[in-house]
Amino acid sequence: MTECDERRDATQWGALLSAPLNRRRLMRFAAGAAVAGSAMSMLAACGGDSDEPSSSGGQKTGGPSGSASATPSSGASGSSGSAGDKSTPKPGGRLIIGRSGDSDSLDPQHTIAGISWQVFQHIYDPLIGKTLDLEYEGVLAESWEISEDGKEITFKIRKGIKFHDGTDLTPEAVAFSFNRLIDPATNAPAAAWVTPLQKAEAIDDSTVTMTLSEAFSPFLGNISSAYFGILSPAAVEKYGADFGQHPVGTGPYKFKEWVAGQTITLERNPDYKNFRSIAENKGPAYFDEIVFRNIPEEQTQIASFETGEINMLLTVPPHQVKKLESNPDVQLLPTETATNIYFLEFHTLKPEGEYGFVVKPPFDDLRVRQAVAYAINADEIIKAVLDGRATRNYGPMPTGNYGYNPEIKQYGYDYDPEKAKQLLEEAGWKASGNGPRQKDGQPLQVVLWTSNATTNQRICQVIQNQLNQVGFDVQIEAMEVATLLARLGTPDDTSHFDFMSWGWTEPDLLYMMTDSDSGVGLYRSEEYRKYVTEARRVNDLDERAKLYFEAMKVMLKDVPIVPLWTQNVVVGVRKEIKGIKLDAQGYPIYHDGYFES
Amino acid sequence: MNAHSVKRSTSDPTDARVAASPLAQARAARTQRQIVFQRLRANRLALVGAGIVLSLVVMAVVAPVISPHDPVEMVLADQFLPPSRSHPFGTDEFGRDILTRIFYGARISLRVGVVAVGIAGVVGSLVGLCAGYFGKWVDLISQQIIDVMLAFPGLLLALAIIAVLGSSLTNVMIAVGIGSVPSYARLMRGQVLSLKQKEYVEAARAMGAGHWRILSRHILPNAVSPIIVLASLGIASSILSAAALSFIGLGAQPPTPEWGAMLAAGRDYLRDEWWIATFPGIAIALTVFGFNVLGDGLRDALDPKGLE
Repeated sequence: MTECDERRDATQWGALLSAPLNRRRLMRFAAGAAVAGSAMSMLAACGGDSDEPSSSGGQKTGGPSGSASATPSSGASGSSGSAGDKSTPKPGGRLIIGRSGDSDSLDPQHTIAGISWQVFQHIYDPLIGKTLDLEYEGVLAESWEISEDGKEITFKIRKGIKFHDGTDLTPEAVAFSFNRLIDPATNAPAAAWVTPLQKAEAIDDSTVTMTLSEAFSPFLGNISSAYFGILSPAAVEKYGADFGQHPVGTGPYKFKEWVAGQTITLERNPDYKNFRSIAENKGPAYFDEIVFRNIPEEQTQIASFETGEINMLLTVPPHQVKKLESNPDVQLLPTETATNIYFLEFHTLKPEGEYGFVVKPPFDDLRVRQAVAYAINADEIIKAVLDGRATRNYGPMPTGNYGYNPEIKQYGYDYDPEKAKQLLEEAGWKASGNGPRQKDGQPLQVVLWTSNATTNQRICQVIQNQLNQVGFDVQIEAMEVATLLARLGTPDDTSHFDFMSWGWTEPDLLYMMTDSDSGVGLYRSEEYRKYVTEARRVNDLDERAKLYFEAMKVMLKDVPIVPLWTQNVVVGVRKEIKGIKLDAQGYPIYHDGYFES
Repeated sequence: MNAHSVKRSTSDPTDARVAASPLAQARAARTQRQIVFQRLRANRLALVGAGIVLSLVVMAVVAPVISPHDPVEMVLADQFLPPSRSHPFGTDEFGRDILTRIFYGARISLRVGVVAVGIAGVVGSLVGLCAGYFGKWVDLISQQIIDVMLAFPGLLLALAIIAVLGSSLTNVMIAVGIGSVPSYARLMRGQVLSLKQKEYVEAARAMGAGHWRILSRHILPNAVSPIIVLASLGIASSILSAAALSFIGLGAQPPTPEWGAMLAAGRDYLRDEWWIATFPGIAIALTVFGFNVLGDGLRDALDPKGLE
């Protein structure tokens, strides 16, 4: 699931600009994430999405998606569009997908950028996937077995599958892929999601055994994504460091061409057999080609989408949704839950010991942090900037994750500017004329960092306005995501708080997000950590949810972050494309997609 | 001491002469000024330009008085309102009145234009003055530096400066100002080079006038009119550069009602809420046009041909 999230994040955020953040952050918590694992089951919520993207498999089938994710999606508009239901799918055509940036590498062991995953999910298949009910099913593995102590997992590999370069998929290739992944020389970011993995060995001509240093419940869940897809050893050897530009896997599409900064073209793998249940189509994909086209400008994206220059838009900018809804040529696939959480995080210094929580002034005073929480009218922002495409979330757990509990609202903070003013007053920040509040002659000036994504900047401007109304003097500094991430937590970091989002399908997100080197990552409250650590060991879902609820209560008491909302993505597909559906988390399922002529 | 006294004594006659000549100069200047004004008045386009500039100044001054809205305060319930009686230019994505923001933006643009040109004019003129007058190594070194600066387009130079200083409106003024120093320096140097050969300058020198006196009383006043023309044109280009820098996010930071920043924000809504970007765009265009034609008019009016 973790992976799922990533993808998802990538998808939505790509558009929103925060993509890089995510990646980075993901990387950071990657280690943690791996542990989290039990998740798979939890995935339930997120489940669908991740799978599908990776497998790309399924045809539209309203059927499957119908269950989990589909509901929300079809609700909206169009997914039903997939309407394809009635007509008969037939091969042909070229699906052109518009997105805002370019991939960095198509070697899944060299990146965890969602924007790259979007592409290579079509090129590589993992050993196992998830059904729409979030159960595991074999993709390249026919079956698997987990030893009593959970330290050994044996996969039976399918026979007769070929890589795109014509070589056979063998247990050796599987072992090779995993051993390359965990080889420190590869420096694969995704390796952090399977930290206990010691080695993978091909036992005979159909079996691979993986050895873990300890029982690790998230293992299956984590490896069910394209990040753990199986690579062609021959191609890796042939291309060496350039493998990321010449990817070879067993997936439904083969790599064809990459024009840096412009397009990536994949062509159908005519020999593909789909083993996933999420798509009805069991044979090769219907589209002749999938083209990913980079269109950085939002207006251009929308224009190209409306004119049919591109057939699909992975993230429709929130304020464009209404206009597109009235366009009969397009279908919008919205989701109602998601696995991301948007929040303000106060900038924190590394605690001396293992535990602690040291915030930079003026936010070192709990009352000032609470004042921020009370001063922000998140509902207003959701309505005015996000066009209502987000769910107000009072706690840090994304609405689409297992463990999300709306009851957390009673421990959260709701818009109450008077209370905010009162708290600031109590904290010694006295009103002074029209200007910002002052304390000992110092104005209440704070610097808010954000990525320069258009939507994020807009959100931050509203936040600035809301905070200024209770007496802050907020300065916004918007920068490239990469810059933002690099500068966060550095000694000369002049900021006080930032607008940030994290995404992960596993509730272990609550552990991961407090396990990095900046912002909430340095929130090391002993009580909080006790709960989230315990939650990783517990297998019972209800038990786990209770632990997370307790953890959230602690977090809301300390206010290291001000949780705002979980944002719901809208994917746009033109009417001539049938069969594409979203899973519950907003990832498109491509394998049943086809052109209606 | 001796030298001093000699100097003083010799300078007296000079003073007398100069004292006489200002009278004549003043008379000539008056007629010159009249000619200049006549020419300006005859130039309709220049008058239009002057009108635009004037109304800009008025807008900037009276902005708080005439607008019922706040330029910064968000009224999210009013977002994306099309032009109407209560919001003649509509409202932006945060429900702020665009007309009000344009009025306040006029303050910013004028300030940016004047300050940037002020920096460029003062620094450039000084450099050019010294280079042209003193020649030799002063000229050599300063002109080498100016050459290097001229090798970069002004906006690029400004970008580089902002990269060093950080993004803010103040830094934009500094950057745009520095970016246009070379043209002023070049122009001034050329003026000085020709002026310092003039007989009256030689005469002043012969009478023992010091550098400072020659520069300030004989050369600068005569060299300044092309600088004025360049400055009036320069205000337009400075406003444009500053707007461009704000447009790409390096200048004014939100919620400052800067025209370039407003244009950039409105870009995303151009297809539907066209008014958000259109009116700031028109404001920039009109302002630049106004300063340009006024500058052109000034150039023609100040043309030495026919003034003497």
